[in-house]
Amino acid sequence: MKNKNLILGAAAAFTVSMMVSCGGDGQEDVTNVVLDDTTQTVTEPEQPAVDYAVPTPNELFEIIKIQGGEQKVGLVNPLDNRSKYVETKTKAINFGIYSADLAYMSCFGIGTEFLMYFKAIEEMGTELGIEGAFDEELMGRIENNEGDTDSLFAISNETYYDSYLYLEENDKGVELCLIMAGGYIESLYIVCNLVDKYKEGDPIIEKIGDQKLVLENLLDFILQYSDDQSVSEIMDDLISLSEVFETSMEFEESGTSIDKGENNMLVLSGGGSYKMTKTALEKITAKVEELRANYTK
Amino acid sequence: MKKAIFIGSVLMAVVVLQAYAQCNKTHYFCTASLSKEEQAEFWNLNNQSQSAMFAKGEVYEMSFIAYKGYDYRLSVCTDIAEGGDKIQFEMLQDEVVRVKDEYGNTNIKKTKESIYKNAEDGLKQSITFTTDKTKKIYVKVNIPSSGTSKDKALGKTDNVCVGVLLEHKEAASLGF
Repeated sequence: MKNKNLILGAAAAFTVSMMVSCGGDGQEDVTNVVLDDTTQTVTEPEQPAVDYAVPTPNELFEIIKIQGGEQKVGLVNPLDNRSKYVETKTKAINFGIYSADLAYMSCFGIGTEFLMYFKAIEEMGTELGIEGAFDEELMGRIENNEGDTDSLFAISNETYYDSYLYLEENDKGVELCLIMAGGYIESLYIVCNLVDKYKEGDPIIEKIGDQKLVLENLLDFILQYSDDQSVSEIMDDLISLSEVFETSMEFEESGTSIDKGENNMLVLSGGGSYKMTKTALEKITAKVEELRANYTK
Repeated sequence: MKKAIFIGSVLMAVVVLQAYAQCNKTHYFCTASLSKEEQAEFWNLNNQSQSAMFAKGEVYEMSFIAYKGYDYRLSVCTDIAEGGDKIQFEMLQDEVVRVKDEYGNTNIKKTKESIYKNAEDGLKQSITFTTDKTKKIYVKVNIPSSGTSKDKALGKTDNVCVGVLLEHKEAASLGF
């Protein structure tokens, strides 16, 4: 992993410094990301045994809906494209893309095509050798719940998570990375396209900015499999996207506070963070559309 | 003899792999330490929950993303049979600030800031929290150094299963 970091560092040192920042172990670890171009400090990473978790597309769509997001038609990857995905790499990426589509459709009540998308995912899963992730009774459950979007949302969430666990348990980390990357890109693509125009403080636009942190964890997760060429290639794509986040968003400093609220709930407030701007939204949308177009063509 | 050793090694590896696979669902059992009232509360399983096989006495660390707009409940557990020590865990967050370096360049400095230690809160095995900004959270779990895994395959080893269960629900005060 260390070698991989150094190689990436030569190609995109700025971005690597951001990734390294996520890999630190212990409270004293510090990484500097230089904003001015004159100097750059990259701390050599230690190798902590940290498990990096990434929210599923379902979690993102659920909160987007809670915060007022409304469905739009024509955003999902058409099933007609499926026959184009022959190689393992494109098949795995598009398994992730169709899984995110399934989460979006079920969350926003677009139930009519759910079964067809689910069948496509199941078939692609078989072709990828992960048919064990699919419960034999699932198809029956879907047919029985057609029209019940809450149940379909729960099924799509379960399927994504079961696939994740199955891939982890069966040493299919490469496929897992590609699927997670595909799911991340598709989710971001859909959410970016749910926004008509920039408005400061729009919670959905904020959520797009929050995907910077999600991407950091995704990259840290993927890094462990980066010796594989397919993973390395998709990592380069994700790094180029993280660079867009990093350079187009505005850093906003703020002190942190930790309080106890009602029922002893810990309330975390403030802290330095990156803020979305009109330019950031445009650049992130353009980049994710470019990557998504490359994966689905 | 060599053949017997080889077969024995293969069988042992299979047993450990099976145990590892079983460890993957340890977080499902973390609610066992909650009170009846807490167990009855409605929370959604968050798929960032993690389970792992880890050596006794070591520190397991994981990171997840906590979205603004959700309340979270985090619980930790191991599969150590009753009688083992309680688990100590700590939650941390990235503290991100702007600093000037010796050349006058503006840098973004990240350090990890401790936000909760259950050792200072009666060794509670779960905590609820909410955040006004989406944050990257780290959890460090000190695996107890005594006790034995309930898993037969791990019982004779120094390893146990550890789980970090994350649950979420719509924040009561959405938007702050």
